[in-house]
Amino acid sequence: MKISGIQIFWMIAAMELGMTLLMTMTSSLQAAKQDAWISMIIAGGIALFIAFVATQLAVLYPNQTLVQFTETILGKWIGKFVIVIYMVQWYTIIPIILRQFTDLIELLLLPSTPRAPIVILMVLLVVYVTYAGGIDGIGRCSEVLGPIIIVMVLLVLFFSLNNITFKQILPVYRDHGIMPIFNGALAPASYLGHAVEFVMLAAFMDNPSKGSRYVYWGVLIANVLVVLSTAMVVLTIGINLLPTMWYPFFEMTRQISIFAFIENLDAIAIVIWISSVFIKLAIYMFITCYGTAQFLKIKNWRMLIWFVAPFVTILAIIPRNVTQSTTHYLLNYWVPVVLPINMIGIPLLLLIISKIQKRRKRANLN
Amino acid sequence: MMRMQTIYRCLVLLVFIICLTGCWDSIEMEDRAFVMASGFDLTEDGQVEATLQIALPTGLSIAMQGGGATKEPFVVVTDKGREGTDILQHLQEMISRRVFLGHRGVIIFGEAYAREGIDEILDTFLRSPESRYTTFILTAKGVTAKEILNTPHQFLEEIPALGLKKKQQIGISLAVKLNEFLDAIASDGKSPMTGVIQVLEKKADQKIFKLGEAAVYQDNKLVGFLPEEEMKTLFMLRGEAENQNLTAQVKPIEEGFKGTMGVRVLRSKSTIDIQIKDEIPEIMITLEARVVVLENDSKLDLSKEKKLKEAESKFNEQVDQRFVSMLEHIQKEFKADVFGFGNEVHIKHPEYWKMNKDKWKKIYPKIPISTRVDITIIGIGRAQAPPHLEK
Amino acid sequence: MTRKGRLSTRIQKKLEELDSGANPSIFDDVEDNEEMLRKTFSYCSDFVMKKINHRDGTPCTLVYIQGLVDSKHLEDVLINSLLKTKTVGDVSSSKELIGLIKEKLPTADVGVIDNLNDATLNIVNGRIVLFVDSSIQAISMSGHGEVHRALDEPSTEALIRGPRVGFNEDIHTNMSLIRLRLRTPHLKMEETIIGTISRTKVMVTYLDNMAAPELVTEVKTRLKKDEMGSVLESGYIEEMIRDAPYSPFPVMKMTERPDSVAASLIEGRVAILTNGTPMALIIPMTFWQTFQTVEDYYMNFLFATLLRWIRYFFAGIVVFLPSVFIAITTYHPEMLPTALALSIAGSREIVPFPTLVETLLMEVIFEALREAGIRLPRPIGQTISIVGALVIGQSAVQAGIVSAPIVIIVALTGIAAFLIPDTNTAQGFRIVRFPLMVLGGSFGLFGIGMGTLALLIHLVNIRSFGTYYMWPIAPFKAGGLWDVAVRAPWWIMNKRHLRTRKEQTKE
Repeated sequence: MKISGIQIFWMIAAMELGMTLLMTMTSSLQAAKQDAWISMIIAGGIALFIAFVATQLAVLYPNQTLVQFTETILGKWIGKFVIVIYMVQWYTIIPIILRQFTDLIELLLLPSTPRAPIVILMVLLVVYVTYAGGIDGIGRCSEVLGPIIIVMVLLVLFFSLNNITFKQILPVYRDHGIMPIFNGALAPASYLGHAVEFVMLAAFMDNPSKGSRYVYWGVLIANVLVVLSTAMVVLTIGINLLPTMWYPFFEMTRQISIFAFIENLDAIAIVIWISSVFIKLAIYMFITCYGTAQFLKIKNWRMLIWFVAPFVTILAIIPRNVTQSTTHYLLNYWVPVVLPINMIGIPLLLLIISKIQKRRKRANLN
Repeated sequence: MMRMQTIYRCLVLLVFIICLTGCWDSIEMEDRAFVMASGFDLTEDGQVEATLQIALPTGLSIAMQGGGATKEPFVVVTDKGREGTDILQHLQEMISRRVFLGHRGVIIFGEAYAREGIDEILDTFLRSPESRYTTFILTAKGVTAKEILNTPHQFLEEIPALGLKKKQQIGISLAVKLNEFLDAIASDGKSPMTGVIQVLEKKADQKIFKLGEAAVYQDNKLVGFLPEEEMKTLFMLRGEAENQNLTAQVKPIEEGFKGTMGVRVLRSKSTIDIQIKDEIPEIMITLEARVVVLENDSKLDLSKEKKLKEAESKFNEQVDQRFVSMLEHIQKEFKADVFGFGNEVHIKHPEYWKMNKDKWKKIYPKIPISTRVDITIIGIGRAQAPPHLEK
Repeated sequence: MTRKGRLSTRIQKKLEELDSGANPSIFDDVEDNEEMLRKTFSYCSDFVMKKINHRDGTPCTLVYIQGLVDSKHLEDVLINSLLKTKTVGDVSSSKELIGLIKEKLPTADVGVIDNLNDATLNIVNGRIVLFVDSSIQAISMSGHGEVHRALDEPSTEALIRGPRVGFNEDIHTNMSLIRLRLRTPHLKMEETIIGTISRTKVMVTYLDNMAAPELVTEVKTRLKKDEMGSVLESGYIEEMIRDAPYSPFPVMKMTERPDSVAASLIEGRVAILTNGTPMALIIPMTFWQTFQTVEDYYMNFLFATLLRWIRYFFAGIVVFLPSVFIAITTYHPEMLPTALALSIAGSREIVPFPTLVETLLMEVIFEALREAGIRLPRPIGQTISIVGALVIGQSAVQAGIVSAPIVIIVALTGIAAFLIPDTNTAQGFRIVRFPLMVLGGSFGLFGIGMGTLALLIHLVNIRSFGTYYMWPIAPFKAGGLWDVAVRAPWWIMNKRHLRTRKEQTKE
C-alpha cells in the first residue's frame, strides 16, 4: 500500500475541514464571540506547529510507523506504554465522532430514524473502504471527495455573501482581550491537530521526507477555510444568536437564498459534509487496525477490522444524550489531555530524545 | 480464515438489509399539510389562538394537470391553547395530514398577543429544525391574524400567504425575517421591529389589506407603531431607502399648484457619530440621500440651479422634521432601540459598553441625538420643467 | 483393408488416441486415412472426400467440409493443378513427394501436417486436406470459402464525422482494417486459439513501441489461464479475464470501429480481436473513457469539451435523478421552491402508490419498453414506441396510476442513459440507480450520500490490468486531465502521445 503526497494532502484537508468546521465553531464562538475567527488563526498556528513536529519525527524513521519507532526510541516497555496512550485516543475518537455524526443527522435530516441504522451504515462504509482499499484506497477516495468538499464550502460562503451585515463582526478584538481568544483557539487546534496522525501514515509514502509539504498545505487549506467560515458565520448570523446554536455553519447554509427561488439547501451541504466525516473515520479505522496489529505483532491487520468495527459501533450507541458525548468528551478529555500530550507533548519528546540518540550515536562512531 | 470472512460478509449483508426495512422518516408529499402562514392571537380569556393557512394543492390550477381547480386553494385551521406545543398538537389533530412548516412564508402576530409578549412561541421557532429563518414576521394592526389568514384572493395570488411573502420580498415595506427578529431580541443593543399589516378599506364586505407601517417591540412585547413617513426616515437611517418615495411641500399652496414635489431615493447613507460625554453617549446622525424627481407640482423651474437648491433645502427641512419625530417616537415614547444605537456604541466604544450595557434600557431614552439631513437631487426626469412655471 | 462394418484394430486404436487427446500420426495408406476420417466425421453430411489421382498416378484424397470451401477455387485451381502437374524427377521419399506437390500448388497458403489431430482441425477450420498415398504427411490448403457480412457502418457507434466502416465477423478482415490504419511493423498481432469446442481464433494486438511489455504479457497470460468450452463472442473472454469480476462496470472498452482500436493502440493499449464477432476489446480501460468517443477527436475541441461535460452531467442524471427525486419529495420537501412543491403534491393526490414504489415501477417498465424496442421486428417497432411513450404515459397519468412528474423523471433518465457512449458502463449506471432509489426512499439524501460513497469506494478500488480505474482523478495526475476534463486540442495531445503510457500502471 503506497500513498502519494497529493493523497496525504487531500486526506488531511478533507478530514480536518469537516470536523473542525462543525464541532469546534461553537466553543470558539462561546469563548471569543465575534473574534472567534482570530482564534481560528491562532489554532491554525498551533496546528502547523503540531504538523511540523509530526513531520520531523516521521522523517527520522521513514519506513516505520509511530508504533514501531516509539519502541525504538523509548525502549520496549515505556514505548508500549506510550503507544497505549495513543490507542486510547484512537479507540475513543472513532465512537465519539460516530456519535456526533449520528446526532447531527438525526437532528437535521432524519428525526424519526433510530440511531442504530445510521451508525451501522457509516460503519459498514468505513469497513468496506478499509478492507477493500487499505490506506491507498482511502487516499484515492479523498482525492475525489476532497475537492468536492472544498467546493461546497466555497459555494456556501459565496452564496452567503448576500446575507452579510458587516457590522456584526465589530468591534474587533477590543471586546475581549487575548485570553478569551486564545481559549477559543484550543478546541479547533485540537481538531486541526489531527495532522499528527501523519506519524502513522508517513511510512506508506514513497518519499516520506517530501511529505511534510503536503501536510502543511493540508492543514493550511483547512485552516483558511475554517477562518473564512467562522468570519462568515459571524457576519451572517451575528453573535447574539450564535453561541446557542449547535451547528452554526449549517444554520448559515439554511439562510442561503439564490434568486429567492432555491432555498433551504442545508441538506445538500450536510450530505457533502458526511464525506469528510467518512474520510476521517476511515483513516482512524485504518490507523487503529494497523497500529493495533503492529502493537500486538499480528501479521494480517485486516482481521482486526472485524473486531474494531463492532466495538466502536456499540460504543457509539451507548451514550445517552448529546451533552454527554460531545461536550464532556471535548472538554474533559480531548482538549486538556490529547492536545497537549498526544499531539504536542509526546511527539516533541520523541523528537528530542531521538535527536539526542542520533547525535550520541554519531559521536560514538567518531 | 476464508470461512470466517464469508460468515462476516453474510452478517454484514443481513444487517444492511434489515436497516432498509424501515423508512422511518419518509412522508409522502400528498400526506403533508403545507403550512403557508401561521398567525397568533390573544383570546379574551388569555389563551393563545393559533391559525394556520394550509395550501390545498388540488385547489390550485397549476397543480391539477390541466383540469380545472375544483376547490378552494387553501384551508384555514384555528385552535386555542395554553402554549405553543399544545396548540400545535390540537391543530395537527384537526387535519388529516402531517403539518409541515418548511414552506411557511409568513408569521403574523395579532396586536393584542404581541403586546402581551411573544417569547414562548419564539422559543419553539428556534428549537424546531423545521422552522426556517427566512420566514417573514408581521404584526397585525386593527385586525386579528385569524381574519387576515381567512381572507381569500389577496395580493393577486391564489394562496394569500404566498402573495404576502412575495410582497415582503419586493422590499418596499419593512420586511423582517425571523432571524433578524430573533437576533434583535437576543441582542442587548437593539430592539426588534416588524412590518405591519392593516386594513386598507372594506369593499363590499371584503377587506383589503396593506403593508406600510412598522411595529416596534421592546424585548418581546409590542410597544407601538411607527407611521409610514417616519418609517421612511428609518429606512434612510439604515441605508436601505432605495426605491422609497418622499414628498415634501416645497412651496406654499398657490392657485393651480399644490406646491408639492415627489422624489425617489436612489441611494441613502447615514453617518453616526458617537461621543461619550458625562457618562452618556451623545449621538450625531447625518442622513444623506441622492434622489431623482418624480413629480413636480410647484412653480419651481428645476433646470435652474438656484431653484433646485431651494427644493433641496425644503426637503432637508421636512425630512429632518420627520426624522426627529421618528426618533422621538422610538426613543422617548417606545423607549425601544430599533435602529441599534446600542450596537453602534458597542462597536465604537467597547469599554463603555461593557460597563453599561445592562443599564442601556435606562440610558437610551436620555441620549441626546442631533440630526442633519442632506438630500441631493441628481436628476429631474425627462422633462426639464412643467409647461406652467415661474421663470 | 477393413471388412465391411468392422473397423480394423489399428484404426480403432488411432480413434481412441484422437479422443484421448494424443496426436496419432497419419496412416501411410490413403484408404486407411479415409476410413479414419469417415468415422470421425460420421453423420456430417457436409463432409466430402474426393479421390483424385495425381498426374503421375499416386492416389490422393481431398478432404474438406463443403460449406466452408469455395467450390470454384477447389475445382479450378486445386483439382486442375493436381491433375495437370507433373512431378519432375524421381522422388525417393514420400516427404519429397509432399514437398514437390506442395511447391506446385497454385495456392499461397499451404502447410504440411503430420498427425491426425491437426488434420481434423484443419478440416474443421475450413481448409482442404490432401492425403497422398504412401505418405505419412498431408498437405493442407486454404479453402477460401468463408462467408461474411459485407463491411458496413457500425451499428452501435454511429457518428457524423469520421470513417463509416466497422468490423465484421471475420477476424482476418478486421486485422486488415487495423493494418490499413497503422502501417508499421511495430503493429504486432499474436494469435491464440481459445475454446476447446469452438476453437475460436483470438488476436492480441499492440504496438510494441507504445505498449508496456508487462501489460502485453499479463493479457496473454490471462488468456491462457482458464479452460473454456466455447468462445462465441468477445464477451465470454471479457468476463473470463477481467478484474473486478463482480462489478457492474466494464474494465475493458468494447468497440466495433477500427479507428477507435487504432487510436487506442497508439495510446499504448492492447486490443483483443475475436473471430466471429465485430466487437473488439481494448485493455486497459479507465472510468473516464466511457465518456469519450472517437468523434470527439475529429470535431472542434471546444465543442467536444462541451459535449463531454454534457455527458458527465447526464451520467449523473441517470444515476441520481430518480433517487434524488424520491429523497427530496419524501424527506426534504423544503428544498423545492414552494410553487413546485405544491404542484408535485397536487399531482400526487390521486396516485395510490408511495413515491418509491411508483418510481421503481415506472423505471422497471421503462427498462422493459427499452428491451422490447430492441427485440421487436422493425415494422412493429415504430408503432410500439409511439404507443409506449404517448399512450401508456398519458393514460397512466390520467387514470391516476402514476403522476406526471414521475413520468418526466423516468423519461429523462431513460434518455440520459442513451447519451453515454459506452453501452457497458451505461448498463452499469442503469443497474446502480435501483439500489440508490431504495436507499433514497429509506434514508433520504443521507441514504443517497451513503450509497454514492459506497459506489465511489467500489470504483476507486477497481484496477484494470494494473491501471487504476479512476485514473487520472485518483490517483491524481494533472497531465491526464487533458483528456478527461477537456478535450485538449491536438497540438497538446500530440506531445502526450509520443510518450509511452507507462505511468498509468504505477505499482
